[in-house]
Amino acid sequence: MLTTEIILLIAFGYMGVLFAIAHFGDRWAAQGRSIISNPYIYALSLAVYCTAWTFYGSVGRAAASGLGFLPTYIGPTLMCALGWVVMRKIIRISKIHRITSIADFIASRYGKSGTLATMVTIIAVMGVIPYIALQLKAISMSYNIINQYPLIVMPRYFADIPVVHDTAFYVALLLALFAILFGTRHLDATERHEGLVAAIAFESLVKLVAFLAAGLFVTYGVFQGFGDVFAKAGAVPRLQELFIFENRGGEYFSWCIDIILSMVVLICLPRQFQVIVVENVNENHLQKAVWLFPLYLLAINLFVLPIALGGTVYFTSGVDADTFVLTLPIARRQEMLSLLVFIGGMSASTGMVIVETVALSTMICNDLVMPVLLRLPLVRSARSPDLSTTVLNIRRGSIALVVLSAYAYFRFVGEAFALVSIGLISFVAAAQFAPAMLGGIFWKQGTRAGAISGLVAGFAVWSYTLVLPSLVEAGLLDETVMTRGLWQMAALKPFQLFGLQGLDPIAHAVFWSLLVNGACYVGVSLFGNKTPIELTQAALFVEVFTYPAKAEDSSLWRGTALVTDLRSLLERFLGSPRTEEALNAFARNRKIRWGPLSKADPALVTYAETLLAGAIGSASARVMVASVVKEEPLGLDEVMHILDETRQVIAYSRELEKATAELKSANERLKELDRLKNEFISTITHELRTPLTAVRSIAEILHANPRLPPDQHHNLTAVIVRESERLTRLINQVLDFQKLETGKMTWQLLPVDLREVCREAMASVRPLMEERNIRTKLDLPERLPPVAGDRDRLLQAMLNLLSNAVKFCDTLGGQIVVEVSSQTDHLRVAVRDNGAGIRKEDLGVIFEEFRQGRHDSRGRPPGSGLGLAITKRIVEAHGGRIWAESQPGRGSTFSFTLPLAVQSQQEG
Amino acid sequence: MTPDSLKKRRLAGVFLFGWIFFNYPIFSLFNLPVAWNGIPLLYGYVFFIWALIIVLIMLAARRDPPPGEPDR
Repeated sequence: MLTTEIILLIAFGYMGVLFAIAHFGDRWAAQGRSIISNPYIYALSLAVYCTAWTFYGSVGRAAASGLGFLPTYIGPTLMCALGWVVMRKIIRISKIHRITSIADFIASRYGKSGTLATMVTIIAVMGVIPYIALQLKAISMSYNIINQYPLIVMPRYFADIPVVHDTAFYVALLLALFAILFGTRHLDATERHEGLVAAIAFESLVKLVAFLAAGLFVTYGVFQGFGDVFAKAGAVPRLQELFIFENRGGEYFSWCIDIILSMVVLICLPRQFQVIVVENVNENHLQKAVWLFPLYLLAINLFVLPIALGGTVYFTSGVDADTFVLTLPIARRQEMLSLLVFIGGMSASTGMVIVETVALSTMICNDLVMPVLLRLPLVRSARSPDLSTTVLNIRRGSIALVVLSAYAYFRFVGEAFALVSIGLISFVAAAQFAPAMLGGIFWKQGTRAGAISGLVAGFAVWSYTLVLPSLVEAGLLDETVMTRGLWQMAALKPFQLFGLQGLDPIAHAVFWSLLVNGACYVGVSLFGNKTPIELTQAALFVEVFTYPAKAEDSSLWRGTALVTDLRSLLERFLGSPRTEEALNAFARNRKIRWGPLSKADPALVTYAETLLAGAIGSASARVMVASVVKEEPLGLDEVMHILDETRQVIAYSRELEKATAELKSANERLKELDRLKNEFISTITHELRTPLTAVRSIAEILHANPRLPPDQHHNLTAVIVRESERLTRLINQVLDFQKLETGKMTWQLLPVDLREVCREAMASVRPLMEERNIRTKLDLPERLPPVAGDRDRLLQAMLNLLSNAVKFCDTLGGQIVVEVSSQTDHLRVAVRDNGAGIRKEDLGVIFEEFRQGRHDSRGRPPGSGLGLAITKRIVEAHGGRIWAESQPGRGSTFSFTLPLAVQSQQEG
Repeated sequence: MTPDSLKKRRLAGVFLFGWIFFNYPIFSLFNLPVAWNGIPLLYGYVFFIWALIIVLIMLAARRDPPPGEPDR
């Protein structure tokens, strides 16, 4: 039997478990064993998005409007698709600038503006406190229901319960204590809270398990599966209407607007900014989280419709649809399941309250209290004591204040509303940050004035279209404002502003507020001017991936400060050990040693400012640093100059890398060419030396023996003639090649009969062939159209190919066939031998200069290695193509084509 | 194209797919009072597309970032 004692024991026992998890999480983190540093815990912590509103409220909304509850979860899914672009950029920016809240993010982007930070904080507090109140209401409601077990009694008026008897009050106190203990443990420059995140991830797991258990029980325990639920609901005419959208444009448009709304709030809600950005350990965790988190959303919504429809069918009347998750198990006397659902609902509420209050307290402290505090002369003076404890105490105070005001709101105002409407009103408030935020990271022209006017306008519309009606509904204002409009002007009716009809109040408010907000932001930005610091921050934010990864490397500051002044400033906010540690790290990295009167360089000032920003927000940090630094105002030109410089350094180093790579490959190529050239020279000199040696030795013989018999004399001089001819040929070849290479060769293009060229070439090589017993065959057609070409060069090419073939032919049974054939637009010449052939890997390179195919048995073949290269250039200069085919061991075929001469050339 | 920009394009594609299939007019094609295996068509459609988008995000985001952008 569930008694009050057992329920309370379980509830507070669960809170105890949370404290334990957070405690151990912090302890492990201190030992360097982070348990939250993986994408799964990160994704679970993002699920703090699902609050009591999801847990209880979705069912209520589904029972009233069918699919209407879903855009709230589809929007984040679509945002996750853009997460790698949008969220990663925000995370990267925040880590570089040590941004710890959404107020700080927006303020820092628009020139570290204190005004903007304060405005964002005020809007966030006003928007979010009702939302926190909603969570407390859910805890109170669920406790009162389960406490009546097994009866089902709807708690109507919480005001009847004295505060001291209200469980929600004690839970609120415990939550404040939790947030204080684990959210403000120390003033860290990174503001990460490992224990807190571990507890939040655990809560996400609990609420998912609880909701799935309830869903499975309702679908398969109370009913016989999905089909059964929908069939029974389909029998009720009122429910049947929920299966489809009404065929009016308004409903589709509301749906679309709701998706946009929930897309932007995924990054604009203070608690989401806290878990996505501030508590992020490693931005690569996003990679998995962007699909794990949507998967979580899908899972927790799977059973919403069956529970909503099933509950409506089961209870028929008298039970609030917001409570179906809990009341259905109670109605079926499921003690354990009821308790599990109660705890699940609690985990949904508490997780949200904890993260939201920590996020709000950072903003309240840094952007509301500190600016005032820092203006007090006592605090400003450098002699005042350590301020870090003061800052922490301000945060603790803010947490208590936020939780208690939320509780007060729930007790005195929140009675009148359903869960969902409060949640959505709060969403619309958070969505006002979207233009300044998204514009801030993608649009450099956005200015501080634009952001401020956008926020003011959006906030005004939000107040008028959503807050005012809720005040009327609560009975605090006269109803005529709703029915007749402000000052009796029908165009100013809060739910039909300027006569816009057909949208539900939320979509209506989102449409007008974001339209006005965005228009003001863009319009004022485009027509306004920017101060240097706005320009700087705009560039650093929008182009975060092109600037250095450390803020101090792109420091935009000119002025003088003493290192000791900066040190004492840091000590006041971070404490002595932490300051010492940070400054030593900086000095070590840059290899600097400071004396007692050392001046701080711009990098150090920026570093100090960034460190301070992590603790007290960028706007306050700027004020504090300015108090010890004699700043020389920076001109616009200077800012642009420095910005350009830092960017150029990066661009330059990237280009350098590219150029180095190119150089490297060019160098490799050069080395290869160098090697080939050496080889070529040694070949050439060898080839030159052989005939030269022959000529010289014969000349010596003739010189020594003047009286040689005439026939011997004749023979010897014949050798000299032959060898010097060979020398000349070789030298001519080298010269030819040189000319071809440098393009100095002159060509005389005349009609040429290729048959003649072939015959003449064959005749020149014939003696050589006969010497080697090579049989030849000349296969020429009867008629052959002429080609346009330089006769001598073509002859040279032909000779090269023939002598090449001779070289590779077997000495016994060698055979060379020359074939000329006519194709449609070109002639083809093939020189075939039956020699050793060319290896496959050599086929591609034999036409390159200085390359020679390897001979398996004979090693390097004779010749300069230029013949084929020259031939190739000649053929190509004629517009032809040359290639070789070969079967090793069976000979090879060298073929080339030449285009036919056109008529005019034939005549010329 | 770097692997990272390819990834961004793919993810943008997934977003567009989701946006189009979750909105009017494609949405209205499934807005019919019929049931599929006992489940109202529109409900089944929404959850199917939703699951499909999650799978697509998973596939598109899987590739590692280029080495030029180190972890921080």
